[in-house]
Amino acid sequence: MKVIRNFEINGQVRAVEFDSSMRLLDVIRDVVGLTGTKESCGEGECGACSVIVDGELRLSCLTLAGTLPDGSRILTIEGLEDYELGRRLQGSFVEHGAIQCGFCTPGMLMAAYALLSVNPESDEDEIRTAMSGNLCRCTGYQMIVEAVQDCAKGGSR
Amino acid sequence: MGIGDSAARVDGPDKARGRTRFAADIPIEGLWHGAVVRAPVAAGQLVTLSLDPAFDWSQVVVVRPEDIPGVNAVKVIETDMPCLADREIRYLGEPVALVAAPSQDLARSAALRIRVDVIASESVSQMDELLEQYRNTPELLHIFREVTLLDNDVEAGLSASRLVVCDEYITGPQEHVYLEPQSMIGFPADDAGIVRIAGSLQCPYYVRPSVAYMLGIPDELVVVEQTATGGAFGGKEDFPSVMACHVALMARACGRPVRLVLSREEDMAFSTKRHSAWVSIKAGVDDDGAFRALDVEIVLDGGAYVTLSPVVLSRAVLHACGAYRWENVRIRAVAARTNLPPSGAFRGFGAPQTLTAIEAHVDAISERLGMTPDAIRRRNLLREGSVMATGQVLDESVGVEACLDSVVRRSGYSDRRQRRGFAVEQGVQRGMGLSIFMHGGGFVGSGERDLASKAVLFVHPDGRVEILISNTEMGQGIMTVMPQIVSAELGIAVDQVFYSLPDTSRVPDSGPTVSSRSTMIVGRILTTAARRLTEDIIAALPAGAIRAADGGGFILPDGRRLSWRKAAMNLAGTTGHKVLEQYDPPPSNGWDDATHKGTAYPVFSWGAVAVEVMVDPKTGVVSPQELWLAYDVGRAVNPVLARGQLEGGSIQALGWGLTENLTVRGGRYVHDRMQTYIIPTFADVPAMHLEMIEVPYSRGPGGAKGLGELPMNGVAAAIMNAVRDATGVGLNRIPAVPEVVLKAIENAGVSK
Repeated sequence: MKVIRNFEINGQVRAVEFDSSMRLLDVIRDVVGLTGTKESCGEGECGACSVIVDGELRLSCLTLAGTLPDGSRILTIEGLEDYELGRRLQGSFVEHGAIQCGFCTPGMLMAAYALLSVNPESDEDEIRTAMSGNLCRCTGYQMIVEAVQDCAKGGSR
Repeated sequence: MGIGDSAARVDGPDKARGRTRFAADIPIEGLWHGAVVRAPVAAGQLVTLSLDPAFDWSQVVVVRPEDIPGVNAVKVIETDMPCLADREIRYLGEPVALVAAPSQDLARSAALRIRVDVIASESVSQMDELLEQYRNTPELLHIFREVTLLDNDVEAGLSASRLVVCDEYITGPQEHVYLEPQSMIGFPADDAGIVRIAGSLQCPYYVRPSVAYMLGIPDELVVVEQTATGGAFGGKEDFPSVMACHVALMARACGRPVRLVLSREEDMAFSTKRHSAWVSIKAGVDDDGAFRALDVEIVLDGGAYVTLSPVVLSRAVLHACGAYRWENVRIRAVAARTNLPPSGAFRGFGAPQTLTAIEAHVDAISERLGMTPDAIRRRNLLREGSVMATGQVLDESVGVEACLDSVVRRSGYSDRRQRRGFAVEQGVQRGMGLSIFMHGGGFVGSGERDLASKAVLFVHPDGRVEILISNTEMGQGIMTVMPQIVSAELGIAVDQVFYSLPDTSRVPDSGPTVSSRSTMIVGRILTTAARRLTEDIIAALPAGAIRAADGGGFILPDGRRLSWRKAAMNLAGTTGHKVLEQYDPPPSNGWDDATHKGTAYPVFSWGAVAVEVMVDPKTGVVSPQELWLAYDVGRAVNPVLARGQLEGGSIQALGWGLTENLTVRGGRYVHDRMQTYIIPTFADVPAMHLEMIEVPYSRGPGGAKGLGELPMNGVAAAIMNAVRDATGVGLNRIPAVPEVVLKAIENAGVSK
């Protein structure tokens, strides 16, 4: 069954038509065509599919797109660079070696952005806890923590 | 930005912006999707495939074994593995047919509606079943390869030893869990008969001949292109050939491009895994801790087909002595078949398995002798000039003692052990563990000579230099490090040199991206090529031109200065200029594969790990607290990228040693989801304190040696040793999940 929703995606309002069985991940990637958001496990364990919906970090592989009401504001990795905190995080990730293969990176950045948006001075424990829903197999996490710490206001250890 | 500088990752910004396109992100006109039909039992005779009559089969295309035009095999080292099994089933999940459809959902649901009828037979899929065959019914054992390495007289050595310590160890299989699942795209042959493959892979020149062989066409008619690869760790070394053969067949059958992306469950259950291993050690030592004799037996579980088992076995043998000198050595090793998905490449490639066993065993020895773990290691570790069991003399670049010193000093190892003893804090025990280890860089023996890797530097008419190699960027940093090496040699800015993901129609075969060889071996070829490029540039200038001593560029005979770029453009003209170089192997004492004697590797990288853990003896939970790492990498070409690999690999090893449990039931890996196969998260990782040690290798770029696999080799044993320190009980298997730890404590009859 086809449904239509008016979503604000990365600041742009558009009418999106999709099958009611589709996950938000599928709508973002296949209907809207934004492929920065990744599918890695499809079961909500790895965080690679993370996006921000109405200010909250969500796993798009576990969200049925049809359950989101009209007017939902969705932020994906492609929209992150429109915000100063987003750009600072991206620059910090590159500088601190927090990126290797890059597949977990969009989800990581969304999680970091969500965290620092509400808790700009997060310490290491808070960072590790808040981001523990995002898996990385390449880095061992320490360099990602340092990248996020660098962005945390006044945070530098 | 020369060698030793942390040049910013070239592909960093695109990855940070979500712009990098992985195989599943690429928009392709008319793309169809594939799915694999798999055998439902671990062993048996395939009877028939039945298509559910209630499904509309006109919507999809089914590919069967009889549709294979060339040979029904995916060639790796041998050709024993069918592309689609048509007679005998050797593992649960073995591909028997393929379905291509306009959507992934349709392809997958169609695949589920093909019933695979098999007359099931007996199967072997547990390590203890394999060992039962090995010990009691060797005539039933199907051996992929056997290796025996002898040095001096082990029986005499053991008899002369003051103390002989025996034990057995088992290391579990491991799944790579690259965040990007296996993904491959196949295109139908074009008008020129060329078949294109594009996807997530480590070795385009492995995939090309495999696809060509299966299709029955010359290699030159297959073009393989790497797409941005989201992690690999060896899991995309041999398995992509299977994926590529499958998409090639589906594209051929439906006349459209076809993309196959494995679901995570499928990937975890059926793609290649690290060989699980049984290692039995009998070690003879003297009173003062000198290592006298080492007798090792190794059994590797190769899974259902040969794939890379012969080479994994070789590496396991060559690292079985650990980073020590033993006077008398006998290593008898076997890789054998079971009814599990074929084992394959995984970072470390046999070395982590045997190094884990020997390092745990050394602590068992030290305990029996009443020596401390660091003292016994210091007494026996290899040094420059030492001779290994293969007869190889370590003539340079041996940093293991410096690594041991580094972790012992920084962790305060001796102090902590004295302070703590078996102190119990609120029911929890603290312990510290050590390990030392190495990793041989490059292919074993004459492997690099036989590969005869070639690399090209191409100067474009605009003066930019392109690196053409078949090595693949998979996160480790090739895209950044190779331009650094070349630009440093040329004396130009790093952004004047670039590398793109390889495509076999454009790049020569510089060998696979495996075996910790890319920087050390291919980087060296590129250095030589860059030197020749400089000569070619000068040769194209008026006679008497020389390279400027400072400020870059060249000085012409009339005294004028010419920028490097202008000089390069002068050479390149309108068509560009190509420099091709081939690998020049170092002098060696030769290599006898049958006896495993000679020069095994051009050089070794070395490491040491110290770890502090807390163990709760009531629950068996082991919590690593702090991790000290020291790795001798020769020279860190890009310290930030090097750190990324060394820390990342150490945590992957931590997972293998502690939490990554892959048990088998009914011939199938039951932990086939991220929810049940536990890899380390942010919250599980202890603070890491890394020191990179640089004992340069004369033939590596700037002194660099391999470092990709080294960090896989020591953490697991250090944890086992820390558990022994904490509880008084040694572990004999990994992963050291709570059940394993509790059982060990129970068996030891220790109650604290």
